[in-house]
Amino acid sequence: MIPLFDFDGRLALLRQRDEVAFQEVYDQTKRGVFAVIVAIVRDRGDAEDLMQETYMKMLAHLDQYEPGRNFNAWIVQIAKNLAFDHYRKHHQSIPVDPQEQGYLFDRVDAHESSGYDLETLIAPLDQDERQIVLLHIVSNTKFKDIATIVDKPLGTVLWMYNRALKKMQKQIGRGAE
Amino acid sequence: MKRRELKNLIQNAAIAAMPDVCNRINLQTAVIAEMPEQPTRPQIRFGLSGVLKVAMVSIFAVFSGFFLYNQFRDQTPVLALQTEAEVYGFTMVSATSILSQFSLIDPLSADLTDFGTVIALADPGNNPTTQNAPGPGTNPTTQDNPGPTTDAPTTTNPTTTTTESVVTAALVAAKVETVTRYLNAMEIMLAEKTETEYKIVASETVGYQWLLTYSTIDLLGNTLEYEIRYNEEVDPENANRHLITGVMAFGDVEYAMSGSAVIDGETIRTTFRAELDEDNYVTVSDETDADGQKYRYTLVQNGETTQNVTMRLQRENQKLVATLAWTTEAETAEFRFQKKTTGGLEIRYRYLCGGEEETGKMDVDVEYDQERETFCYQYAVDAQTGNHMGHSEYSGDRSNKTGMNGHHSGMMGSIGSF
Repeated sequence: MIPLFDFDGRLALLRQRDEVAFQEVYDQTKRGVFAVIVAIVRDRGDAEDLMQETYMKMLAHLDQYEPGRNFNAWIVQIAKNLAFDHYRKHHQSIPVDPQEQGYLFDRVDAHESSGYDLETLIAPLDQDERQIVLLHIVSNTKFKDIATIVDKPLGTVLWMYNRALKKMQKQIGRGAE
Repeated sequence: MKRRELKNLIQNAAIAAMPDVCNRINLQTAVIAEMPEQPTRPQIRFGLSGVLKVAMVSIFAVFSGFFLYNQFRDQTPVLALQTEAEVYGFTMVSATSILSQFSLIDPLSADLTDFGTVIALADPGNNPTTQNAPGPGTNPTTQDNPGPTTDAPTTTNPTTTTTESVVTAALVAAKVETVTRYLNAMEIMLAEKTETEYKIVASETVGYQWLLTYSTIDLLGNTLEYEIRYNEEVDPENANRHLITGVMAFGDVEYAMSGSAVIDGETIRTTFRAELDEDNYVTVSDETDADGQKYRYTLVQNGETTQNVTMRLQRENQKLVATLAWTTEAETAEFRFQKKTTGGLEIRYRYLCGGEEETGKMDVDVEYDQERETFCYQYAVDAQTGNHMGHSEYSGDRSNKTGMNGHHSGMMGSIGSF
């Protein structure tokens, strides 16, 4: 049995500016934070900035986290709020140019052995489906927690997840033809 | 591509694209919230009366909480069908199965004609007496029509089977044909979870996106597999609604399927229609509520709605249990279907008609009819309460799921034989 990561213990050390504790917390949470940000924001530079901002905000509001609660879900919620704020402010005014801005899903970053990049894989999904799929697959977040994060009933989340996988399978099938 | 491979692709692609911002955060200069000061614990003065009060209140709270928890837990329904494949598969296959029975029923005469052989037994030692049953159907007035044979008891002249010389028919006999309409569907849909499999994969048939397969085991032990090919797309006018169109072959006939799945707040509502032609179809609509998972089946035959029934689904010990119910001005009926571990189906029923109520049990088995050279349902009915208590037996048509020569009709493909 794998022991649960002791977030509360690390956070106590983090308050004393313990670098090792921060690195451990970062490693445990970065996938969920990244997943929810890239589901909403598609620019590489913006995604990096938002990840950094998420951790800065987490530190600044650490007093609002109640020990014993689900820290992962808490920090993912911070990331989601920041990403949505960013999206609302910029998504219509900032044209994304993959050539100049280093698109987050630039094919240079594609998983080379498979030939598929993240953009191609999740292209057919809408924003909610992206969050659900990426949170579950990239950060192993439980559907129950995802339901809280995306504010939808568990049944709907499961349904959307299955729908999203089917969409992606179909997309890949088309690509292979 | 398999789902596992797809997941691996996504995971690897995401990890490859993930930036590392840890080193961009200077922990020593970052703003870190100070923990609020812990409130000082108030001094508590202990006294016997105070301790007793606290103890009593605590005990009361624990018992109340436990009681409320159990109440809540008991009332939370567990959905019998949980996945999209199960919901789509069950509703589509059951609707088509019911629709396929239309060819066995003459809607104009169903209420007035005999539906089959009725053998009522007072004494198993006697030669069975063949009689004509009162006509079943949606028209309740026909239930009072006795069959043409004079020795057959009727609902207007109820007789119980307490003596050897008297034969009787249960009040519910009038509904055997109606039950038979659904029995073909029940035979293939009700099985232990380990005996059934619902699967959705990408369709290889040109013109269809998805292939839904449902495999099950019938009462003769045959493994059957049904296939539905369909397309699903988002409704351009409502992003929460998915439109579904497809086909399902059942026997030699191909039925058109259409429907929708709508995300409505906390639920997903499905509606399907299996259609033979524009005048003959079955619709299934989701009516799940706090009481459990329920579907309404509406049967339209030759342009006329012939029946409206509700099917409630429950999962008991891994077995799917279905309760069919309907109420009209003249009657109320409830039939609870369950597959028996020993083979066959058990139906518990409650039937009210003409101010009379009957409850009882039906055991249904599939038997080969030598004369008709086909398999039939054999009903052994035990009316346990009411004016017609006793044992009686009936026969009902069973659609050809498996033929005598090994031809498997009623399915797209089949595994195994009897």
